Amino acid sequence: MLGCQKGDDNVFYGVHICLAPMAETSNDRASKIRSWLTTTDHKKIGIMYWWAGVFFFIIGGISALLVRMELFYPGQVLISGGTFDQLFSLHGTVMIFLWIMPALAGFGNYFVPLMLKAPDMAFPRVNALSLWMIMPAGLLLTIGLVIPGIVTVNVGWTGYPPLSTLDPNIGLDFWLVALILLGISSTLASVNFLATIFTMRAKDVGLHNMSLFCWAQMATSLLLLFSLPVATIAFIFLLFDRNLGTVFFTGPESDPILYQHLFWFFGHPEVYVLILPAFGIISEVISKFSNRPIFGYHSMAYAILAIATLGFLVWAHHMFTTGMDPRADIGFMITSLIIAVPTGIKVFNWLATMWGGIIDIKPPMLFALGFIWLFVIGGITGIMLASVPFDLQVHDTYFVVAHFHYTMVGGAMFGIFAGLYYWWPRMFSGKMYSMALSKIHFWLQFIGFNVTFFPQFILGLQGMRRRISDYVIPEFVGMNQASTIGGFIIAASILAFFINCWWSFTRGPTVDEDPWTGSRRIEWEEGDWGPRTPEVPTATEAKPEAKEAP
Amino acid sequence: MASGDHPKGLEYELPHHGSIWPLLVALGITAVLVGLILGTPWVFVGAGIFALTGLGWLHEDRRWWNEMVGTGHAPARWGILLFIGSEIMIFGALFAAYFNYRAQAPVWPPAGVELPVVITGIFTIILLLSGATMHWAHAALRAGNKRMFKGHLLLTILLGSIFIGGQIYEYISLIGAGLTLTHSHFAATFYMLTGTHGIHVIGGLIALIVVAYRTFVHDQFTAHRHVFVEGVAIYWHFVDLVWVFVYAIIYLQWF
Ligand code: HEM
Ligand SMILES: [Cu+2]
Repeated sequence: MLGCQKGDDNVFYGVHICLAPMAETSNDRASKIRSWLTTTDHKKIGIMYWWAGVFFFIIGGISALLVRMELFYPGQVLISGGTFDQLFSLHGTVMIFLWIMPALAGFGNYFVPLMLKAPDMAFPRVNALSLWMIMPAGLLLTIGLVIPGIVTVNVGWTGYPPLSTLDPNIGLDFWLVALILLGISSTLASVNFLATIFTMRAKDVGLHNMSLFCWAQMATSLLLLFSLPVATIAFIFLLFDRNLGTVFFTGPESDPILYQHLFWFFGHPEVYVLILPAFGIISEVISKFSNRPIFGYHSMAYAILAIATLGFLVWAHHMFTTGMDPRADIGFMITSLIIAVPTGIKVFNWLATMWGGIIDIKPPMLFALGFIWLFVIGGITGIMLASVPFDLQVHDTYFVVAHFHYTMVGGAMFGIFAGLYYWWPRMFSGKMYSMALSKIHFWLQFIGFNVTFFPQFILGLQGMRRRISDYVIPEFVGMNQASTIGGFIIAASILAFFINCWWSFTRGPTVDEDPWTGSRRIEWEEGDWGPRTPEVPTATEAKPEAKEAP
Repeated sequence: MASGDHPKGLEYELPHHGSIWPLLVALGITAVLVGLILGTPWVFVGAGIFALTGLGWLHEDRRWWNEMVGTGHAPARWGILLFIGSEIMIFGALFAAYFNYRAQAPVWPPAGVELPVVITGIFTIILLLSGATMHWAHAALRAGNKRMFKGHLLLTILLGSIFIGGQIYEYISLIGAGLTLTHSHFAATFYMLTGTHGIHVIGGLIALIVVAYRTFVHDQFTAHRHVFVEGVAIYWHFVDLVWVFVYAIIYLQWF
């Protein structure tokens, strides 16, 4: 009834078999929808992750534009302070948890099993469960946008108490529940990825010759697995404080700083969760489009592991202003500075890969080059922030905002688009996109990004606080206006991207093999190119189809 | 991939199999969590939805594993071990909170708070015994002795249930004596730790009951086919071990 039954086990890519009965009635919309709702195929799941991410990206993007519009002029011009709080908090939460993470998980789901030559993820149904928990979580996070009287999260994506325990609005409880759901989802997905990478590799795919993207996915999963539970406990304590009258974080004898420790023990690994898969994508793209194998494969792989390990030892660099023991300050400062070493190894290896390579500047490579440039700025400002005396000055200013946008947008999101333009025909439509439009996308995004966020470094150094809806100092006006204009340039670039998607789906030239020059890659060769064309079963698949006809 | 070219550790082939249950279970989990927020009647609605969807998944599980094929030992074993890794962090975070509040308190446990060290000590022994019976059950299954496997399996369930009964009794008497969740940081962390552990024991019991169901009704496990039993056994030992720490740290105040 649901999917295929016993008897298919002699055909390895059972996906054909499952889809075959539906193919016959492919104009039957209901069965098509059902095939997506009931799928356990890693490819389809990857695709759904990705488009779910894009959906939330639009919501997060619109909230960011509204925030920037409010800051265009000094004074309260467009929205109230309360709405402003909701918009920037929603923006941060949605972009991190519902755009970058699902988009990267989408690539991971689609390509890790292909790169390992595995038939699927280790636990296909659990994989689907992880996907489906994203949707209700997204609904709970954004429900405040549609139901009057319920707020969306309005306490920052970090949700520090006592602020987050003061507002009794149920919207904040929904926000916590959503985060817990996303936590369960990511934990299960991490177990799945790790079990897949450890045990499902084909005989000729070893840990030390698998794609660096798989290494990155492995490190990411380890980070999530061991850091997420800690944040989940912090969120549960918050829920208890809010609803059951406990005083973990608020009240005379309570300890709000404990929340910050628990949160950042997760929060810092989380930022590497966002960047490591992007590192993996960039490694693939740079080596492919430089026509050279990656320089220093082993150092790349172990640098990823080193970053992941060190990532657990730096969390309190977010808390230098909380009055910790100065010795702890120094310790966390040193560990944070050390992370620059493996990160630097990666950057230099990318450069060394390009050195002497035949570089083919196609859209994926453009995004990869943009990535390196922007991520280095983000990383260097991270080093600056990690030094205690400097951080005491700029903590919670726009300097920090600029830093993490250079790493998360300039880094993770440029990485996502590099991967997207690289793998697009394989993953989505089996069709090519317009090169011209994607170059327009890149340049608008690259310029818009710098126009938006570079001024924020200066604003931060001048002392403009983050998360405040108004400013009065005249010197701030120019930089804020530049930033807002840059935001709209980014929006235009995303528009170019959507037009390109539409163009590709409707009239893009069909592609059914690796369209790029350079050495062949497993993920382009392995397996069928489904599920994009389940309507055309090949001869071998036609037989069981006849048997299986409903 | 050509057949015969199996990935390491993958003992069976893995056909794709559609399933509606992941979607429904995701909604079930959501329903539970939202129910907890909305308050009393909804908690039960949520729990009911979750239970129904979970049962659906389990029902399909049986077919998936029996008629379809399993994913083999290695992924299952890694899966449970990795999952336990994240569980360790859950308890680690709870203990971190416990020690944090203890370091800040002038007196710990607060004056006048007595935990029933002796009675709970007896229940601790019972839980540890259940670990032994679980081990014997699994060993018997691997040796092909199904009778002994079944007996020890039931014994494990019985001992685990006695432990949970003991916990419930202890909660009732402590709350009766005024040690409520909001009494103090000691009480809050005590209930969080023992409560989280208790939920894990209940989860383990449910898994054991599933094992029993599949053993007595479907006779699914043999000396060569016992991944699920093994996973549950590993999990059960982990839950036992956590309790040793809870008892030594909170009841005996050894550390
Ligand atoms: C070279 C490595 C890095 C170092 C040393 C570093 C250091 C820091 C420090 C010290 C802060 C705290 C600033 C403050 O609040 O006063 C910070 C904030 C932040 N960093 Fe980094 N960072 C690095 C890389 C990254 C990467 C790769 C990402 C993300 C992909 C990232 C994302 C963030 C975010 C999101 C925040 C702000 C969190 C918040 O308060 O909302 N960082 N970083
Ligand atoms: Cu950090």
